[in-house]
Amino acid sequence: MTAFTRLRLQVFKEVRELLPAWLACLAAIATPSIVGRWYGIEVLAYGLGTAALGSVAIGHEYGYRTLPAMLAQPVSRRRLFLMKMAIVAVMLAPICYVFASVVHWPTVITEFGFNRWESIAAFSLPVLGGLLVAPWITMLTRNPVAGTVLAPSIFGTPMSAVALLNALTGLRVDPPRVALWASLALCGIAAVGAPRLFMRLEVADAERVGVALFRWLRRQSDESADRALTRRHPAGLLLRKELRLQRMTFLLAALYPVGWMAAVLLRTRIKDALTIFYIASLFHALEMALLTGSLASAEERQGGTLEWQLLMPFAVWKQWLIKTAVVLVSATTLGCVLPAVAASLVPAGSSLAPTAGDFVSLKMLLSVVVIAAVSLCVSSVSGSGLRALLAAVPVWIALASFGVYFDLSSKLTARPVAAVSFAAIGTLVMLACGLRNHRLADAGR
Amino acid sequence: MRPMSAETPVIEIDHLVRRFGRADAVDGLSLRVAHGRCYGFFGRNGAGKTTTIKCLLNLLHPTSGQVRLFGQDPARHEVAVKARLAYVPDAVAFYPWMTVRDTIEYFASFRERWNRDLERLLLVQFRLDPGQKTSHLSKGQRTQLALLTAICAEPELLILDEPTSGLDPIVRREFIQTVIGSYQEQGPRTVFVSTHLISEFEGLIDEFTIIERGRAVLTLDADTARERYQKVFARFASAPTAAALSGVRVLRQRGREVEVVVNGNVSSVVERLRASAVETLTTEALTLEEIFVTAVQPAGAA
Repeated sequence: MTAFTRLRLQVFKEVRELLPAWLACLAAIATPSIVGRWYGIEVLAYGLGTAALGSVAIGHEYGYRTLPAMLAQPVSRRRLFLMKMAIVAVMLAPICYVFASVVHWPTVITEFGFNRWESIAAFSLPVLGGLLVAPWITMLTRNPVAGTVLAPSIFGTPMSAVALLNALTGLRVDPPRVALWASLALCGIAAVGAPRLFMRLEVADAERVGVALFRWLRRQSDESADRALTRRHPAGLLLRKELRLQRMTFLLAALYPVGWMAAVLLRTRIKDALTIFYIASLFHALEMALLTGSLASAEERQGGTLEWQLLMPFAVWKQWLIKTAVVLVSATTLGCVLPAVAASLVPAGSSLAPTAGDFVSLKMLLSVVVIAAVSLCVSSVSGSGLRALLAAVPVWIALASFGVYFDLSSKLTARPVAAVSFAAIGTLVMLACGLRNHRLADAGR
Repeated sequence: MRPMSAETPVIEIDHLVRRFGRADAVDGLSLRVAHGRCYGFFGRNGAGKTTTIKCLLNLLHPTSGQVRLFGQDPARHEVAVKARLAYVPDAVAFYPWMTVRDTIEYFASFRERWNRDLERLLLVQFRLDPGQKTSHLSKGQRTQLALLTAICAEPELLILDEPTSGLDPIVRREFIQTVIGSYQEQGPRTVFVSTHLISEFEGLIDEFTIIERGRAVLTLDADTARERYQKVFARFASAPTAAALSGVRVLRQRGREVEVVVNGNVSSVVERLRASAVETLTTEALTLEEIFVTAVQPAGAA
């Protein structure tokens, strides 16, 4: 085997792993320009897509449990890491180009008051986040979903933190500018941290550390191990298990109030802070719907618990019902009710502020329920939460395009009963398909 | 870097400790594996076998202690070390979208040497379809593919972690006798095998270590072990006295018949039993599996 053939085989394997995420990201960025609406999705796709590429580059080895085999090959870890990151960098370039050609940059520059270089830095931030921060978070948490959903917040989180710091301490620092530099500094730390972590990466039997968000759940389990075995209704335990599967959703939702507070505090400094946050809230609702559905079935399959779960003497349809209830209630609560509560707390007199009614409208609730059902259906045929999340985005875009083509939105807005019926039938069909797939142990193969 | 001489052990583990939180998975383990040996690494579930192997391969970092492969530190000389070994993990996994052929080619791309003839032979022997996707393989077939990718690289050291789990009895026997046997016949190769199915490897093991709760409880040459550990069956004229059976581990006692395990002091025990009006007395070497049970199971639990 020649050196070129060897390299080709190794590069092909990495490219093949990244290809679905890359295509989904490109399609999502280009969609608004093609269909002539849904402007703003390209920003979400740019942030999530770049992070997904970086996460998948390392995360697929966790997902397939191939990390021991990969690290045991006679090749240095440095070379492995460099090759993975070089391929991610090359694949990020076209995404960058397409995004630059569809996004309206002067708006960003004037909104945040950035100069030319700061604008370039802000433009590059998702790329740096995807290339450096996402793999770092993925390795730290051993969870590619964490890398994908947390890396895009590298700008928003410092900005919120600085805004809150200003409010609490009376400092007069410029949040967007400080956040930009803080984010770049974080990327710098990740640039050192990610390769170092990869060099020292361990392959423990417990493949996933996860995010220790709800320690009380685990502590309770530890305590219960010491107690005498008591019979409890399985529905309660199933409910707890389903909530545990959604820990990444809850972590992401926890960032929302921080961002909301920052938007309220920044409304005098940034003219359209609340409008921007309204749009961000719509994305938040979309993200909650996609994430809750995507994690619900696929994560069980990846964890290898699905088969014995299905064989428990508890009807599968009842298990699915609990799963569905957790998904739909979580998606609507976190995606609609949480922003509505936040909107109702905006100080009086704020112009351009979204109202609670914007988030708990029939249209909004139905959209979130349908998207959650679609992503749950996709999850039922996916081998991992990340793959489900990446697949759910193009499926949702395709369905939404179908709706646009037939002008369903305006037709159904005029007839609420028909809208509810249509959404209910669509949701039930999706959930029925999901149940059928969920029963099959090999559906995610 | 220490030069590798004929006397340099292929595997050296010195006072290895690996902790996970408050639990000691490996607790002061030391062992040496000489060149060209088939070394058995036996232990119960959770004894620390896989953790030890992962520390050897730099997949886990020791909390303290030292590991060396071919006289080199696997963390510092990772490529040089890994180029000379192949590893079959306990939980075999492949990229699901690859076919068997793709997987072989992918793993071969990391190797300087690859035995294509052996590859063809093993594909036929294991009845693996090169065009089949790895996601459609059964657990046993995945293990077979992992063994194939390990053996075709012709490594000097083959590290196998529960290699025969999931294999059917025919393939298991074929694998152990033919594959490992012929692998060692090709040259001075070393095999380090961690397994529960000790009886399957009975004829191949030269030396072994039994590990329990992260500590080595017994390290012996297989032949010496069989000499030392004997099973003695005795039938007495009347029920034996407690004095006659003192200092031996009683495996079974039914009326006048007694079966005991003797560790090292066979002749003195036999003498003592003969002096107690014994009618029949036979001795038999313990199998490695029986030695394992004797070493690990507390007396009286049998």
